[in-house]
Amino acid sequence: MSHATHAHDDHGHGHGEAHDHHGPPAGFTRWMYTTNHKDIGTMYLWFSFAMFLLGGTMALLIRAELFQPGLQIVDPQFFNSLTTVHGLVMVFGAIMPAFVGFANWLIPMQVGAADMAFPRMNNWSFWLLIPAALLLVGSFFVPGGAAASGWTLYPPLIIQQGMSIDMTILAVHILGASSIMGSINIITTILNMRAPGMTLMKMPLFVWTWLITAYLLIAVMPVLAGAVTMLLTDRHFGTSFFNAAGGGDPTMFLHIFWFFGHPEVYIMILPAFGIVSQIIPAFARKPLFGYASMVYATASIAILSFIVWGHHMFTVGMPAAGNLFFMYATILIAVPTGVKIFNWISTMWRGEMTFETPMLFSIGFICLFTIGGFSGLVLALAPVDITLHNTYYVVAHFHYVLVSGALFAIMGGIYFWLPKWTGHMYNEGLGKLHFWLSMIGFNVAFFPQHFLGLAGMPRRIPDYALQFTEWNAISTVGAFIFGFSQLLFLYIVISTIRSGARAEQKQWEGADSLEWTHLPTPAPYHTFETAPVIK
Amino acid sequence: MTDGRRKGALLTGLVLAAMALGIYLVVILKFARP
Repeated sequence: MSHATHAHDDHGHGHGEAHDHHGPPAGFTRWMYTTNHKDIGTMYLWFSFAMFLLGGTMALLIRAELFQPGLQIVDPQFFNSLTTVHGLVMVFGAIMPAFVGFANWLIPMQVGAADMAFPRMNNWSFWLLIPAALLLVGSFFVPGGAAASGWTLYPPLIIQQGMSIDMTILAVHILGASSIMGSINIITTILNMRAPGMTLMKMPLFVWTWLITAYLLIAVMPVLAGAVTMLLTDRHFGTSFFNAAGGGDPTMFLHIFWFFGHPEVYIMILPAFGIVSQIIPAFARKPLFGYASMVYATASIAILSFIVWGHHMFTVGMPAAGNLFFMYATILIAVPTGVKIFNWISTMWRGEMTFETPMLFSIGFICLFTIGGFSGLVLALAPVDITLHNTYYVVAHFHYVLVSGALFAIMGGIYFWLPKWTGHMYNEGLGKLHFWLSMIGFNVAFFPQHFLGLAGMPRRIPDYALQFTEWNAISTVGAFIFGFSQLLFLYIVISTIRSGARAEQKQWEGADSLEWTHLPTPAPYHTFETAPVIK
Repeated sequence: MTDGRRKGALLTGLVLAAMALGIYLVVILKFARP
């Protein structure tokens, strides 16, 4: 009762006083109705972390089942659901929302804007994620179990399964709408709301990478939406887009899906490039080497991402000329990616380097993402891919790109900006412990999967031949080390928010973007009500 | 934010939304042949 009264006092329609103070209202309604970019960024980041723990739990169940050959813990149908929903949750629930969280927090501060361009739509973008997540998780509890086709939702299997597929299709539509609204907000903020003097080529790299990523999202999320809409009509409205029995073509789904799917990979990695490009100059105490070439390389990667989708389907029987085209186009991506890697290394060259936790994660990112990039080049070779397709080599490759790539950058970014966001400094010793546990656990989990794939172990199976036992056991041990070390990350973040030492305005002496140079710590609830002038 | 900027932002947002809707329709209509 007293709570209700309190809430009424805080949120009743006494607008005058609340608006005079410009502080956040208290309680749940602050988060429900907020249009503040920082609140929304915070919600995105916590949502992402919750999904990360959920998807991680599924991953550990998968690895526990694969600890030894034979069926131990889950039945094969449930195993397939686990691999499918793990993928969907991690891609759409963990990695993408985490980057949107960063975008919300940082883009207005880094371009000198007061908030995002469309604050109400920003709120809507976030809250759409909740029903989508509930649909995905809820699909485990309907007859037939959750989608078990792999995250790629290939027909004809996807046309045959039960109502969980409809829930997944609806979830994907909602997530797509959320992403598109988020992207519209980001592009509009960057193009229309920069402070005077903040020219495009003065923007921090993180803003640039998100500008390009947002264009990618607007270009390809509707393609995915179109594909899953057609799946839905094939299932329920008598069409046969992908149903061979009715004259349709299942392979066409692969083309449409991967026309979305490959740019999606870059959607998950370009903002990571942006974060690392902010962290490395700060700890090398040098300006980013080759800023303009970084921008052009990011744009080149984005453009090339539209013409390489066929490398995901070398085994479907495309003409040799098609395979060759996709092979060469894919290999071409190594050029702008290499530009980025060498620019980061050149930034560090002869820098006054120190190795705080964000820098450790960034260096870990460069080393491990490069391994993932190289295994990508191996898979880009059509003749090699025909052997390695659907093996654990592919699983190892994309986890090196998305975990030690995207996720390590996210974690480095959290440590980097946490002092600015919360006003408190994290525990450096625990941060470094978290890094090393993650680094060791990750490599023990995923490096052996290269060997398993080269030896021929197929992905998405709950059982395997005896010769794969040792590397699978080792991989499972690594996965559990990596998984449980993320609880340490959770502890570090919560203890920083609650009781961390006071952070300085410019916690990192080499950091030079507006949030460090123009704003106090913690960043005030409303920033840049008067735009700064950039010289 | 000035009125001009507000209108610019609205226009940018509408163009981007139209792009997204257009791509969605093209994907479906392109493949909606008998």
